[in-house]
Amino acid sequence: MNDIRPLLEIQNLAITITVAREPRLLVRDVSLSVQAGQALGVVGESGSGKSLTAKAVMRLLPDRSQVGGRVLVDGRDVLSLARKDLARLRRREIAMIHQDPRSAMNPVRTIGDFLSEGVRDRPADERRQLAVDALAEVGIPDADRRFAQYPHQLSGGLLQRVMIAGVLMPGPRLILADEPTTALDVTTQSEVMAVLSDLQHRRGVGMVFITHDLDLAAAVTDNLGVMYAGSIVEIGPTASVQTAPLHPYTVALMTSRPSTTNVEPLKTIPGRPVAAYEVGAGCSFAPRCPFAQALCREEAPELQHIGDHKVACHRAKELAGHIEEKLEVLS
Amino acid sequence: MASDPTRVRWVRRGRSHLTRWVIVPLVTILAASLVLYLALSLAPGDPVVAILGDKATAAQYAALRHQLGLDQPVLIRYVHWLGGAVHGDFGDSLLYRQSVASLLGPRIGITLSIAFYAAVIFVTAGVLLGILGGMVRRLSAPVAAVSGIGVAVPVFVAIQVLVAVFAVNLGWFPVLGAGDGGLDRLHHLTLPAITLAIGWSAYIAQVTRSAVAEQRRSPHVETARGRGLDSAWVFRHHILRNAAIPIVTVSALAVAGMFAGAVVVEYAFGLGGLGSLLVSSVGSKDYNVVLAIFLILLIVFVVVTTVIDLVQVWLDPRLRERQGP
Amino acid sequence: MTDIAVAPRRRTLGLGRLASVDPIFAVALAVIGLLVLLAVVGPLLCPYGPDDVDILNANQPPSAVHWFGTDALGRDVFTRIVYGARLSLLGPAIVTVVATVSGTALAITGAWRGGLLDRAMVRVLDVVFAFPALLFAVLAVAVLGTGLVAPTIALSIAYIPYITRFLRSVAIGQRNLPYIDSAELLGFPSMHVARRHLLPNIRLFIIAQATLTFGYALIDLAAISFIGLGVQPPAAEWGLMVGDGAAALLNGYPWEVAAAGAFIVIVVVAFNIVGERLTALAEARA
Repeated sequence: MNDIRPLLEIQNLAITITVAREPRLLVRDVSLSVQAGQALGVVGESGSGKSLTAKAVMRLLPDRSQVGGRVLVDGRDVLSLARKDLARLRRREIAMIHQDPRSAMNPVRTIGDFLSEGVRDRPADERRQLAVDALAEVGIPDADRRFAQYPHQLSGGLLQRVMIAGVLMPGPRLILADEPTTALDVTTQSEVMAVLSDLQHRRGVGMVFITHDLDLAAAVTDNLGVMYAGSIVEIGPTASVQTAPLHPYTVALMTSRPSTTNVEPLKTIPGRPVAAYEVGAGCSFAPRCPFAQALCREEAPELQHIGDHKVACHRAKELAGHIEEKLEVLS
Repeated sequence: MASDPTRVRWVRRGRSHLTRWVIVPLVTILAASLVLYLALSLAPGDPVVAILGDKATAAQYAALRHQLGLDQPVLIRYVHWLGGAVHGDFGDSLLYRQSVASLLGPRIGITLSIAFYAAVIFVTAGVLLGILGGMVRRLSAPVAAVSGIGVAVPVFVAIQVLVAVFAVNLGWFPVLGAGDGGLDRLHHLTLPAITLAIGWSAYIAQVTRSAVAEQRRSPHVETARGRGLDSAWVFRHHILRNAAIPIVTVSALAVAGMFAGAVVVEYAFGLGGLGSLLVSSVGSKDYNVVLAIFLILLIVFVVVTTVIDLVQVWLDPRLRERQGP
Repeated sequence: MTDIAVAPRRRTLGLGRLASVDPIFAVALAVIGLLVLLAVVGPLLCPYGPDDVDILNANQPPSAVHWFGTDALGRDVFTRIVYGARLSLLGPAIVTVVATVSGTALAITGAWRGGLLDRAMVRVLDVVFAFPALLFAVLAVAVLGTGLVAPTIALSIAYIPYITRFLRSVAIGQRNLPYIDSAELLGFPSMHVARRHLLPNIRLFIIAQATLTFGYALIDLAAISFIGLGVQPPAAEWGLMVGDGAAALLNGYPWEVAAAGAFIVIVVVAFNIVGERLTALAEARA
């Protein structure tokens, strides 16, 4: 497809974290790539490992963790970078937007402090101008007043916009947005998403947008990946994943969204989402999949190309296009 | 023009600040001193009998009682006492036959010296130890263990151990007395100060360690590291700065609480400070002295807690707008 | 995390399980158990009485005859430690019970009723809480005379602010949880909800605080006796023994001080460990 080297390329990422002296596999085998100027959505429920994947890109994992695979930013493997280079990468190249701005920002430091921290290596007057411009870019006009305020004085939506402004000030080329709107109410969500998406397009930066909200992801991304139990089960251009999902899990996610027009019983996926370490042999979704067969329980499927996207399902080709009907029949 | 809203706000702020930092502490001291006076007035035993012995006549008792003003109602006596206290006149000591004020004078200096000396030691040692325990993962458990034992060792036990080792065995420090000024004073007060400081440094180390460790794990520190900020900056402006809030609070509380230990230390080392005077006065029912010393302690406490309040608001901007919880 | 509208309830405190995974906790509990045992049946092990003076055998080192040696008056230190255990534990026990019960009542009342009463209480607590308990005890002795009674009363009152503050914040934390809401929605009166729903869920916190209080009370009461304002000689009490033995220590006979001091430290450390682990357990379950 693309001959240009991707901005971000994750190859076979695996993450194990030691919790209470037990090693737990949380990310099994994730491979994805993001081109400059494009947005990749990563959708999954809690425990699917999506946040950890993002953190791995910046090597922000907890102390007691082991990482396998490669994370290439512009061709360089982040996981084997020297400290100094890693710091420069974090300072200039990659920016992370966290889920809850209130806990992600230091409550005893002013907004001004927060903003100027990211560009400490620039001279003072340049810092100030950059901060004013950044705030303007996210739609916050009276910068001087804001500089003196503290995080607790701002609403959630405003604070998240400040966070976005702050991490984008150094002009990074890749944005990792880890559930940036989950902590906000619905109306604020769309405002903040609009700001973020607009910024991404205007600056031509790459973005990984992590969320559990399918609709949100579909609205702002070019490509969409679905994660379950620590690995990617389906990934491809957003339009086709959304209109023609191939993996039973993806289909189930789509159909389980409550309808805003009809009154009908809520369709749910039986069972609960599992983490990577809880998966036995075979396909991770098999225990909950209405289409599971013997093969599914024995052998874990690999990602294979079907049409313009990739799916990890033994029966994908066979079920393609008929899944929704079959789901209706089964429920 | 109509009243300027900013100015009105400023005045209202100023008035509530005055109330909070000046009036409330004053009222607290007054109320507590009243409780103190009333409590001591309930003590059994008649000072008049203590002075004249039990062979005097009823008339003599009555005369002395009138002379000392003891035949008036409690509240009036309180007001008289308070009035005198404001001028530094606490009456006379029954035991030493001299004015209480003259008794207290030289002793305050000794007590303050010990308190200051000990405070410097325990704040420095405690915070340093706590930072080490909080930042260096391998030292976390050892620091926790050592400080856990340190807080359990009472002052009077620590005294024995330190005296046995340093004064008796090694002969580095004198065992009794406060010395004569300057370097000799410092030499004499070192062992008492260290003894007093052990328990409190352990306590401060515990609080510091957990505060620092908590900050180190916090999301905002992760954000800071994620922005590529160097560890020295992160430590200073994110970890230490935030941990300072509980650390400073606890240190100030420790300074207040230390006075209890100072009493024990002064008694054990025979230092002529307020603490040892308090013990002997309580034993000999010399109430004028007891009252005076407790009033001083009360004032010290209220001042310290008010300062804690002030410092907390200064350090934590979240506390600034509201007065309530 | 999903909210739970049904309060998590446990039949037992789960201490047994904690002891089996946490060896230090188990040891601390064992120490406390041994101590209680010592206080109760210890005297049976002592061939001497605590007041048996024997000047000729003064300041003897530990031996088969005198397990901990003798003090300056020739009294058997081991016996005095054992008899001292009763006194040294009785005072703190009373203080702990009184302060914990009062503190809990105040904490719940403040957290539940709220309003002016609560705010006034918090104000008072903030001021009183910094004043050292030992000085309260000294004041009480000034008013009521020496002995164990005055300090015990004083400490029972002095620890209340400390316990109340802590439990009040715990109670407030619980008050906003769904299970309290649902109980109140069902129409149960406020205090009933507090008693039947809140209390069982914070009992671990209460016990943890009580344990820590016991340790502090033990130290303070021993300190009062040490400075001569508490238990008077010739009674056997650990703090008093540390004081009595000081002169002997200076002359090179540390047995009395060492024994009494060691016992105090070990017991307080044990109570502190238990208190801390219980608090951590309570917080983890909350």
